Amino acid sequence: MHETFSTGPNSDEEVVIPTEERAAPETVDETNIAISPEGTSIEIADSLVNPESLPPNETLADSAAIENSEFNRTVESIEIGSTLAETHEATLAEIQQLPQEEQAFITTEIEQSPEGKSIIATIKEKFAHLVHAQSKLEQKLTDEHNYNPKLIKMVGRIGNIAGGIGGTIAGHGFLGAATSVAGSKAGGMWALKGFEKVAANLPQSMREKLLAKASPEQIERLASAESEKAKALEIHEAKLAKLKEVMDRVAHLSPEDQQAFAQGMEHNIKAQTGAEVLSEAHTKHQTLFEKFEHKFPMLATATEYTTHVLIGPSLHALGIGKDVLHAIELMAAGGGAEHLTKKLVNSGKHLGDILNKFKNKVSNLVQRKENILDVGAAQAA
Amino acid sequence: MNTLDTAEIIADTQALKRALDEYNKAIAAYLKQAEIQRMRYSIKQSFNSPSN
Repeated sequence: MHETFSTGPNSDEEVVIPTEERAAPETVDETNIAISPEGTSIEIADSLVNPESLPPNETLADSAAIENSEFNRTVESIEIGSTLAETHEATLAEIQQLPQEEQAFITTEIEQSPEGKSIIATIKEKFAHLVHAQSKLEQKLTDEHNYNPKLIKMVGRIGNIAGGIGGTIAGHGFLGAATSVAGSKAGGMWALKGFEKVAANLPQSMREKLLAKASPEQIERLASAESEKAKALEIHEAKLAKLKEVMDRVAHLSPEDQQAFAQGMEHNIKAQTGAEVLSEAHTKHQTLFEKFEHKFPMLATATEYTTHVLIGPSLHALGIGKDVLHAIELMAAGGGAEHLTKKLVNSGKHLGDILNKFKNKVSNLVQRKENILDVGAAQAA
Repeated sequence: MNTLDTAEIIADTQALKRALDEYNKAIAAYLKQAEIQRMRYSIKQSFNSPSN
């Protein structure tokens, strides 16, 4: 008696294994995947092939191809579903832009009607399922060393949706715009963090690569990127700590001194210009990446993702807006964008320079003010 | 990653798809209600306007 297995999803070869050569029956049940020293191929066969659904002559390679196709269809469905969910989010946002009285009427009527109550309860339930499914998959992808970048992008998108206005409905009822924006921002950061966690592993292109291990070169490149990221974060955190220290000193000045400080800042043209430049740079980034999003909607490469890993947290540390981070995420997920990647690196550095100059200006002003106060106090004494 | 893990990820992906579809349906129902209430508000306002 013989059973036939293929040697793997990418192989057309078949291995005929006599039943008597298999491991001792007492250690193997019908679905056991470790039935021989060469069991890797058999593991694949047993775990993938459902004998009831697979035609007798179909090989494992055929099965893998079918599964690959189904998997891609599922990911595409998620992509479509994500787009729909984002459209819903946009419609909810439109409702939030209505006059307060109209908005209050709509939400109160829904919340008080039996049907509305039922709908909100359903949203809460489905939202919980969605978050659970998203987290579970995200965790699983994080735990693995290979994954499908397109799927990762979709999981990240759903993370954004979960943090959006729909999430606000599920969590706290239909709240004001500011709360929703905060929720959306938190959701965006959550998705970004999840995306980063997942990206601790190197991107692979699709299903067949999902089956392969990362190359030593890729692992080495990732380790190098992670190291650079840690260094960049350390530098930015130190800069931010200094800036915070300066701002704390301002906060502890007396109201009169704070007012004098504020007036000093208002009259300081350079500082104002620095803030404006920062704001303009933010706007420019948004415009740039909005264009990018339309031009390169998907795909990922290790190079771009490494850039994301390096730059995303840096800009986060610099306090740049969620939209830019989202755009970076999109850019990181986009293929063939070397020139944009370089541009982003330069822009990130430029933003850092601007912030440093601004910080120095504030620091100088505070120091000057304190010197004046010290001299005044000495004279008074 | 072995194939068993891959099969699990595929199953989880399908579960995510189902969860997303159901969530979308629930939100769509909310939006439908919102549209109905918006129309009601509009009618109510038209009755309350000074011209009436």
